[in-house]
This record gives sequence, C-alpha cells and structure tokens, in this order.
Amino acid sequence: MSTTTGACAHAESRMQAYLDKLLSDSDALIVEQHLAVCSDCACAYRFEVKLRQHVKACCGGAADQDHCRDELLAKLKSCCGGAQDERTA
Amino acid sequence: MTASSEARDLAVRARDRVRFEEDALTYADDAYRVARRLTGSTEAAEELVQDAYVRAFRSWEQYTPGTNLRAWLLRIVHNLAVDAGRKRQRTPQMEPVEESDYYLYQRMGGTSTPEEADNVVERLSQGGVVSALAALPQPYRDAVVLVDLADFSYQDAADILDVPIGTIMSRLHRGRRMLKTELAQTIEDTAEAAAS
Repeated sequence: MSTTTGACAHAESRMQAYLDKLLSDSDALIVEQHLAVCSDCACAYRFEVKLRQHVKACCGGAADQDHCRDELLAKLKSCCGGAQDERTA
Repeated sequence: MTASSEARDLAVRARDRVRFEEDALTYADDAYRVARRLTGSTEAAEELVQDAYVRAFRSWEQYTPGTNLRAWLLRIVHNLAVDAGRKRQRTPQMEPVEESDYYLYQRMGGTSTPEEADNVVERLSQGGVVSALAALPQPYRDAVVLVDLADFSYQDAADILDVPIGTIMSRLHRGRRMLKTELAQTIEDTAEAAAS
C-alpha cells in the first residue's frame, strides 16, 4: 500500500457522508478526484460499498414485502372489529 | 346520552375506522419492512406488524390528522419491537469505539485492486453479519437498521424513533463503526476456531 497522505485522510473522513450522498457537489468532487488517482482509497471505497450491500443482503434482503394484507385485515377484524363491520352494520 | 347523539357517536367511530383502514394500511409495507429488520424473521415480523396495527387501531383517537401518519405507525412498530426485545434479553452494553472508518478493511488485510474487495467482503458469513448486528446496543442498531437496511432517510428514521436528526446521524456513525468492530471480532473468532 502506498503512504497515506493528507488527501487520503480527507477522503476517509468524508467517505460515509459520500456514500450517504450527503456531501455538497464540490466536496463530492474532491472525494471522486482523489479516488480516481489513489488506488488504496479506491480499494477501500469499493470495500465500503460492498460491505453495505453485503450486510443488507445478509440481514433480510430486498424482496420482503410479500406479507399478507388480508391477514392483517383479518387480525384487525378479529381483535377490534373491522371497518367492514361498521360499514355494513 | 340521547339516541341521536349515540347514533352520531357511532357514525363518527365508523368513519374513523374506515379512515384507519384506508390511511393506515397504506403503510403496511413500510411497517413490515421495518419489522422484518428489527425482528430478524418473517414470522416474527408479521406478528409484530399485526400487533402494531391492533395497537394503532385502538389508539387511533390519539393520532392527530395532518401529522406524519407513517412515522406514527412505525414508531408503534418500533416501540413494540423494543418491548419484545427487553423481554427476550438485556440490551448489550457496548461502549462506542473510536476506530478508523477503514478499520474493518484494514483488519481484513486490504486489497490491491477494487475487484478484490468484493471477495474480501464475501468472506463475512451471513451468520457472522447477523450476529454482529444483533450485538449492537439497541439505539445504534435501530439507526443502522432503519437507514442502512430499510433505506429510510435520516429524517424518516428520526421521526420513527422520535429523536432529533442529529441524534440519528450520531448513532448511525457510531453504530456503523461498532458493527465493523463486531465483524472483525467474528473473523478472529472464526480463525481461532479453525486453528484449534
């Protein structure tokens, strides 16, 4: 690995905000310009991106919204009496 | 109460219930998304969402129309999950660490090309990642779960947890670092187990 520079430390300190897309355009550009010329920080950046994706995939994945709305309505109806009851009463 | 006022009261309640189903159920997917990440299993998430909606239904009069209904509902989901968690186990007490943002990357040996970073990350097992997340103290875990896993904005997470947005940012920052520390520990534990 090459010697860490002030630019590397600056990029590291901004990395999470950069990944969160919270940096101003000018600050983001500084990070991007550094990543383009520093292989060490480019590797670390790639690691951080992949790590976020990996953690997300391990802890639930994306396709999880197939819960049953009908079951929810049935639960509400059995516990509280649903709106359907009120409407037909 | 007269017959007419009783009838009016019934009509108001009926209208409220219809409005609950029409409005609150719009956010069932969001509720499930949060519950899934807070509980760690499909079955527990479905149960949590159902319980939360029952509680919300019974507390519907406390909701102020025009305010953030999504945040109100998800706060109920979160509070029920926290209550259930307290019953199951004590929240681990972990002091936030002040490590470098690249701590885990460095502990895993770094890489010489960006493509290698993919392989390094894949060395983290699913069980290790799930355990590491579960080991975080509740406030930090909640911030990581809502923002990094469930894709809520900082503001949404702040509304759901009923804390200032600055608190979310601080907890997220520390939570991510604690997660990396935990992940590094799981790697060491795995290596030790393999060596013995």
